[in-house]
Amino acid sequence: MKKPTLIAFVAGSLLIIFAVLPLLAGLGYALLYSLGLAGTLGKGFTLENYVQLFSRNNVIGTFVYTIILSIISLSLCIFISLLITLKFQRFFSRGIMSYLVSLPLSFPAIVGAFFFFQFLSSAGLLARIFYQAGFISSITQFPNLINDKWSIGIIATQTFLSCPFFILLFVNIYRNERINEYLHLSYTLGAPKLKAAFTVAIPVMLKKALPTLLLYFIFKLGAYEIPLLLGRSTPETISVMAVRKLQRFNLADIPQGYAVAVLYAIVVALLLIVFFKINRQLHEA
Amino acid sequence: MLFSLYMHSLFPSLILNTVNSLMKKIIYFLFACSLTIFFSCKNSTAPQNDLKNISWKEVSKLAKGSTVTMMMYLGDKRANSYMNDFVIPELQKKYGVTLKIAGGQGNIIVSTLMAEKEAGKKEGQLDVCWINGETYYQIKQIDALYGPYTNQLPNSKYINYNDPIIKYDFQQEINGYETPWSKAFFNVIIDTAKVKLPPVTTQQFENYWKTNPGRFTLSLDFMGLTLLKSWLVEIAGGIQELDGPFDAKKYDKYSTILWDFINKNKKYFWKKGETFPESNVAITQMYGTGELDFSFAFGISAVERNVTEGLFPLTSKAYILQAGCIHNTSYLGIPYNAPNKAGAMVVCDFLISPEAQVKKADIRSWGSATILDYDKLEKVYQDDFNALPKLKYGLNEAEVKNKSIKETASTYMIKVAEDFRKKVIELK
Repeated sequence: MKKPTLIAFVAGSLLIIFAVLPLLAGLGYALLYSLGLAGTLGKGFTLENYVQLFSRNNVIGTFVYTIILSIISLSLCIFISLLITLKFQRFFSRGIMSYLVSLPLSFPAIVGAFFFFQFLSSAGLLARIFYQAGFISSITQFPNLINDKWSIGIIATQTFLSCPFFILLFVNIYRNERINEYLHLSYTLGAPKLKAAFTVAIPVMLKKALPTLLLYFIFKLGAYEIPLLLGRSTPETISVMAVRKLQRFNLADIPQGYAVAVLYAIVVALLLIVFFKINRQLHEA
Repeated sequence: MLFSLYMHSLFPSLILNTVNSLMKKIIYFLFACSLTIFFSCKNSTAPQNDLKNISWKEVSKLAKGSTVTMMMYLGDKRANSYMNDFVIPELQKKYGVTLKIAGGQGNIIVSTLMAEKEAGKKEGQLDVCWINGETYYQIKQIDALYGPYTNQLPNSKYINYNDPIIKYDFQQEINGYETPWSKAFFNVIIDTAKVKLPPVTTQQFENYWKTNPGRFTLSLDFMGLTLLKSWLVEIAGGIQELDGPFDAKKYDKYSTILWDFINKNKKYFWKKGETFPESNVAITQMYGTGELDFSFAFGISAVERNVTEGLFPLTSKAYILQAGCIHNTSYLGIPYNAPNKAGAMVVCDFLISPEAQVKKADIRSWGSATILDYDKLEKVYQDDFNALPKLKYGLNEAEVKNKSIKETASTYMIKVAEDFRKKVIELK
C-alpha cells in the first residue's frame, strides 16, 4: 500500500473531522432519538415513532410529493436552459448577459419565495396589473397561483432560482465539448437543424451533465422555505414535515421528526448509490 | 467541549498512524461520541446554586454587577423598544445589572433547554426567558425550570396569585416557578365598514361565510388554535365543561361537532378551505390588504397599533366571541441551569414593579396589560394607571373582565392541532 503524504493525510482527516463525523454523529443521534434511545423524554427502545409515522401520517405521500415536485421543477429547468443554451449560448459566454444570468443565483431561497409570493398571490402585483388592465373585474378573480392545488407557485420559484445554474452549466459543456463544431459537421452532412440538436447536441450535453443533475435533484429534495411559504398545508414536503414535527406543540412528536430525518437520509443514500453507479459507468464508457 | 477534549487526545497519535488505524480510531470515536450523548441524557443536573434560603438583600448583592441573558420574542418592535430604552438602562442604574437580550421564543427556548439537558450541560446560556402556555407545559415536561422563587420577589406583594388567570398557566399551576408578566386575551378584529353585525356564535359565522365566501380563514399557529378552542368551548356550552385536566370523552364528543361544522363550511373559507396560512402574520397582512374580513389578536393593543400605524382601516374594531375571551398570562421563567439566578430574580422583580408595569401598559410605549392587582397597589401607583391614555379601537381589560375565561389544559391544544390537520386539512 502506498503511504499517503502528510498533506493528503491532514486534508483527509480535516474532511473527516469537519464534514463526515458531524454528519454521522448527527445521523446516529437522529436514529437513537427516533428509536426512543436518546432524548429527555425517551423511554427505551421502541418502533412506535415509525409505526405512528406510517399509520397516522401520510409519510409515503410526503415522499412521493417531494420527489414529483423535484422531478417537475428539474425537468422544466433542464428544458428551459437547454433551449436557451442552444438558441442563445453566444450571449451567455461573455458580456452583460453572462453577469445578468447569474443574478437569480444570488437570491436565497426565502427571498425568492417572498418575491414570488408578492408577485403571484391573489392580491399581488400580477393580479393588480391584470385588474388595472381590465382582464379581471375584481382582484379575487385572479387564479390561485400561490398555496395552490398544483403547486404552481413552488415550481415557478424553484425553476426561476435554478435555471441560471443550468444555463451556465450547459453553456460551459457546449463550449468544452465543442458542440458547435459537431453541429456544423452534421449540417454539412445534410442533417436538418432540429434533428442535429436532438441527436447530437442534447444527448451529449445531458450525458455530461448527468452527475450534476442527479446531485441537484438530491439537493432539491431538501427544499424547505419555498414549499413552506408557497405550498399548501397538505401535501407537504419532507423538510416541512420534519420541521413541523420537531418544532410544534407536542414534544412527543419530536422523535417522529427525527424518524422523518432518518427516512430521508436513507432515500438520499440510495440515490447516492445510484449516482455513484452511473458515474462509474460513465467513466468506464 | 467534550468534542475538543477527544480531539486533543486523539490528534497527536493520528498523524503517526496509517490510514487503517485512523479509520479504527474514527469508529472508536464515533462510538464514544454516541455513548457520551446517550449517557449524558440520563444524567440530569440539579440546580447549581440554590437561592431559596437566602434573603432578598443577599440576592440583590449577588446580582450587583452581573450580566443577565434573557431570551424573548423579538418580533414586536414596541416590546423591543420598551426593553432597550427603558428596562435595560433602569436595571443598570438601579441594580447595576447588565441585561442582554437574545431573540427566540417558544420552540427555540424549549429546544435550547432540551439540548442543554440532553448534553448534560450544568451551566446553560439563558438566565430568564419569556414563556407561556405550551412552552411552560413543554418545559415542565422536561423539568427544566428553577423554582419555586416568586415568593422571594418583593414586588410579588402586588400580584394576586389566587386569580385563576394568573394561578394557572394552561390549567397547570405555576406554583412559584413562573413570574407573571403580562395579561393578554384573545379577540377578533373586523372592519365595521364591511362586517355590519359581528358574528359571535358558530351559527352566525356560518351565516356570514355563506353570504361572503372566501373572506375568512384561520392560521395553523397558536392564534388559529385559540379560535378553534373558543369554538370548542362554545359547543361544549361554556368553559366550566372543559375546565380541569384533559377529558378525552368530552373532547371527542365536542370536537366531532366542531370538525363537522368546519368541514361543512370550509368551502366558504379563503381558497375554499383547501389550505390555511401557517401563521397569523399572513392573516394580519391579508386583513390589511382587504383580502380577508377577519383578523385575530392577543392583547389590548394589537388593533390600536395597527390602526394608528395605518396598516388597518380606521373602521377596525375588536370584539369578543360567545364563548368568552380566552385569557392567558405570559410569564418569566428561570431555567434550571441558569448561570446567574440571582441576577435573573432581580430582573423578574423589576419587571413586575409598578413602575415598569405602568410603563408597559402605556399604549404609547408597549401597550401590554398589567398583571398587578389594582386593589393591592398604593394610591400613587393607582393614579399612574388611571392617568394612562384610553384605547380608541381595542377593548380594554375592564371591558372584558367579566367575559374572560381560563385557557383549557394544554392537551386540548395539542389534540386540536393534531385533529385539525387530520380531520380537516387532510380529509379527502
